[in-house]
Amino acid sequence: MKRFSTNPTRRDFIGRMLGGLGAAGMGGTMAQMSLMNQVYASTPACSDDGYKALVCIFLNGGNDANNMIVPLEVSAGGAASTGAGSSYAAYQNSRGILALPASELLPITDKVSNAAGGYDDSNEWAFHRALGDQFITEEGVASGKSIHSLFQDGRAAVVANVGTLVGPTTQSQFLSNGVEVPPQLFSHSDQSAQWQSSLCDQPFRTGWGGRIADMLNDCAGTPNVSMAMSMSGFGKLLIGENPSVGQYVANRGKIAAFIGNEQSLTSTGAYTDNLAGIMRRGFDIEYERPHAGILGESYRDLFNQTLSKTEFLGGVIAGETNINLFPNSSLGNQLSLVAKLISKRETIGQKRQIFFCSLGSWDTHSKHLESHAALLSELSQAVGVFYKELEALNVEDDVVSFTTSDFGRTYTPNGDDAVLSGSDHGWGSHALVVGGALNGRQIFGAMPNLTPGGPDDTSNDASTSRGRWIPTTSVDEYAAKLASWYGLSSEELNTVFPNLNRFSSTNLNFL
Amino acid sequence: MTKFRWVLYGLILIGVILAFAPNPFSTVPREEFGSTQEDGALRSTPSAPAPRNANGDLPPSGLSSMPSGDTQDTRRTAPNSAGKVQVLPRNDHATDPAQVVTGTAQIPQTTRVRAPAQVVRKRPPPDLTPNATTPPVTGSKPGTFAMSGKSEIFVGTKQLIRTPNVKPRGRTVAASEQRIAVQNSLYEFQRKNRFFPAGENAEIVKQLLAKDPSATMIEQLGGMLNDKQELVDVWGKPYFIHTDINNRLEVRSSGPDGLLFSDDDLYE
Repeated sequence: MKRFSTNPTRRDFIGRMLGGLGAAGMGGTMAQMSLMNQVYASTPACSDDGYKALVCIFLNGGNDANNMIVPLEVSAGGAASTGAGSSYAAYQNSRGILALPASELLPITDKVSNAAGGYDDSNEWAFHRALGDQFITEEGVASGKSIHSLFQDGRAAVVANVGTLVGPTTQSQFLSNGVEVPPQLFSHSDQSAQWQSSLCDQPFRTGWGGRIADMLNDCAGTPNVSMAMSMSGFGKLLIGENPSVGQYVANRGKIAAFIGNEQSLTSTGAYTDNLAGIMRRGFDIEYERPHAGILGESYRDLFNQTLSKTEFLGGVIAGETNINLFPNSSLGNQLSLVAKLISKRETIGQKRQIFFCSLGSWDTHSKHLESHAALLSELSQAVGVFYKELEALNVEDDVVSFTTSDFGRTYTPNGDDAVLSGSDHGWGSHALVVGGALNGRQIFGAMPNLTPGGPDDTSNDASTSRGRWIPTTSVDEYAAKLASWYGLSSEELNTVFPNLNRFSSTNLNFL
Repeated sequence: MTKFRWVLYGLILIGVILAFAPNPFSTVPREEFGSTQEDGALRSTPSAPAPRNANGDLPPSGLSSMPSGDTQDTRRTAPNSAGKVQVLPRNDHATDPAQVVTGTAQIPQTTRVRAPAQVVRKRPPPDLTPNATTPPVTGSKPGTFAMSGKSEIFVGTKQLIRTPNVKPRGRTVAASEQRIAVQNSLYEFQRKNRFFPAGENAEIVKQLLAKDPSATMIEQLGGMLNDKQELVDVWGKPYFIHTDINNRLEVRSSGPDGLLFSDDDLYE
């Protein structure tokens, strides 16, 4: 064996240095691999417990949940308390021109836990009247339920005052800058990304839905297509680390089927003369032409994968129709496709599915009353039909739909005109959860004190405060509850939601 | 082998020198061609005109000094560094007749004259003295109002200074200019910090000043803040400042009627 020389040559020195660098690199790689193994090593809990699906409905722009659920006390006799000193009167006083008339509200009866461990009925809140809208077909047939009826039936719940948080935050801490708050509060792009990643103290890299899909892909995924599917463009929520689980994107609730063989190829394998054949030929040419370099090759592979998945899914749902008629609206079309994909889950080969849908125009700075009513009506109609469709497919207990949004909105209006004015960007907002597996007909989390300048506002000056509620439930806790139901173990939850241990909210057992 | 390497190095060095050194064989003095590059195209500009004499007159043009009957020589000529006349390549951009000279007429030595720098007339800083009044900036058209920064001063909304001699149309022009100034401040903030400030009007002002507490920023904002430290328009109403999901900025003034989102709002 060559003895170690104390007077190495130049060649010896360079060789030893490179060897040291290689060893260091190998050590780092092994550490990373160990971390990755922690993520993927444990046997996912989804292997034996059947099918589950999550459907995210992202309300783009910031839902004014202050008018989605309104304080309104109703007596046992059905009389609403709206006089001075009532919770409704305080709401009306603070919201001003944005306040909804009591006569147009839909009272709800929610369950409140009592000291005996049971529940009592409570009649202190009401929904916006538009949440009572159900889709009526042209023939006058009610094709679905409404969110109000789902809530009253125990199939829907409200999670109050959810929002992006770095850690638990009180008003005094916020005002004194005593705790870190999410960066760029009140900014659409930043808050939207933070809602979908749940990691408010880091730049966006992955969405929590994508991380869940990465975690469960081995037991519940299929090589045919990712379990993460977006019905509305590229969803940040579904971005993960594992490229083989990359989300499938359907544009506006539609999957192109024109490149199916029957439409684009003749019996002899030649291209047809119609649009499908022309498009198919174009795609094939694009695939077959040489692509230079690693980037070009990756593009070609990705292009081909996308076409393959589109062809596969398009073939699976070709000719499929929903059992119930869905409204021809943006959200209706998206949920219609979701329902088809759920109905074909066994053909696709998936035991888990995560869907991302979105509905825009919730940024109601102006003409709020009119716009918000229309949006809530669309939401209620689409979700109502979707739930009825799930019942027909016998999977209503296996699918949970939930809403998310950039943020809530200010309690006070931004102007004096009832028609023109609206509300501005807030923080904490109320979310809706719908599903047969829910502990429904309850308001979970902690409803904020709805007083501008009050203890839950970002400002303690009643004269200038706009009523932006500091969240009492973090996005991490809200999403972790969904993920836990979906099949993640507690260790996996801490991996997917590393900030979860900072929070300890109670009253979140909606699943 | 070592000697060959040094010869190679020397050849490379000579090549580099030749590539960047002036061409000693050129007959055209470099100073005679000023070149400017616009939109990637090289164009030659004529040299600076010959200096004027004591009476302020230009030297006699080449055309007038030509002997009668001779064919007009329109080629450009100029003296080289030795003072001798030489014919310059045809240059369609040369239009100065002072450059056309013939014979052995006294030719002034042209020197490269740098074009005078453009004078940027800066907006005067706002006068924060309450009740300050200033006549409109001279040279402005009747019925219009140039934003002088002195006549629209707000020190508290109650001290709104009005200019009764300005027509309503002029006020809207001033409002539009001011709105653009606010918008530009926000774009400048975004350029420096890579994000737009977010939140309520007063919060945005706070962020602007926190990131740029320079005298310029304070001066610009000092004339446009109300007692709540909100940016206000010429009618004293706070601006609506908003950035959408695609990071498009909107700065909106509620206009003369003071109603936000009405038809007379000023925005882009």
